[in-house]
Amino acid sequence: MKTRFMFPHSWRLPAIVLLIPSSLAAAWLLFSNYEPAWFNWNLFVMHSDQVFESPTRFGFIQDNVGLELFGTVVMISLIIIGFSADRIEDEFTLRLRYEALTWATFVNYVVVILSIWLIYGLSFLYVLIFNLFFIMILFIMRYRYLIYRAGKTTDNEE
Amino acid sequence: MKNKLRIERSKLQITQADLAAAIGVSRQSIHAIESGKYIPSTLLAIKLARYFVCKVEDLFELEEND
Repeated sequence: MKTRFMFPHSWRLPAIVLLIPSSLAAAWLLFSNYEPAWFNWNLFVMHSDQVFESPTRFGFIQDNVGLELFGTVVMISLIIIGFSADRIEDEFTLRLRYEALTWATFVNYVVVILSIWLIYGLSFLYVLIFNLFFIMILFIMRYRYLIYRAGKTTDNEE
Repeated sequence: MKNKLRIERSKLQITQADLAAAIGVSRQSIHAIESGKYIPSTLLAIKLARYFVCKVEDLFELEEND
């Protein structure tokens, strides 16, 4: 079945291989506040207003890009894992994808709304950062569960 | 919507996997259609009817609440 916006099935495994070390590295950099010197790059920015520095618009700043780099790799990996075709991609698996994505969106926003009211200060910033990845994680887990459940019932009835 | 997929399949003595491979869909799809959890598209319904050499209406039947 021809599907739009889907990556080839063969891309999934490399994406999983990329996801594990990059997510560990991103989490480590985020929580340890460690900033390796080789990640200090001069960057072109549209807008920057870091604390104790004058705002920069459409100019260059120096920043430690470790989190940006690993965060980008994690996001790309999650998108490829979530939207790479299964071995047999058909209309039923597409419907499961749709259901999983809808479910993930609802659950994600329930978590966000609860966090808005229950979590304050710097911890809320961590919630927002985690939220960048959470919807894709939920989607992938839900879709895999639906596929597993469909496969499990099939095994019992030939 | 009711369907006679399971009956037609048993007449030919083929498994869900055999039918899925012949039609080009996943085994889960055939199971979901047979158990009424999923209503196939027109394209898939026609493919199934062609496989069993019958009309789509012979395989699928509307229920009163459809």
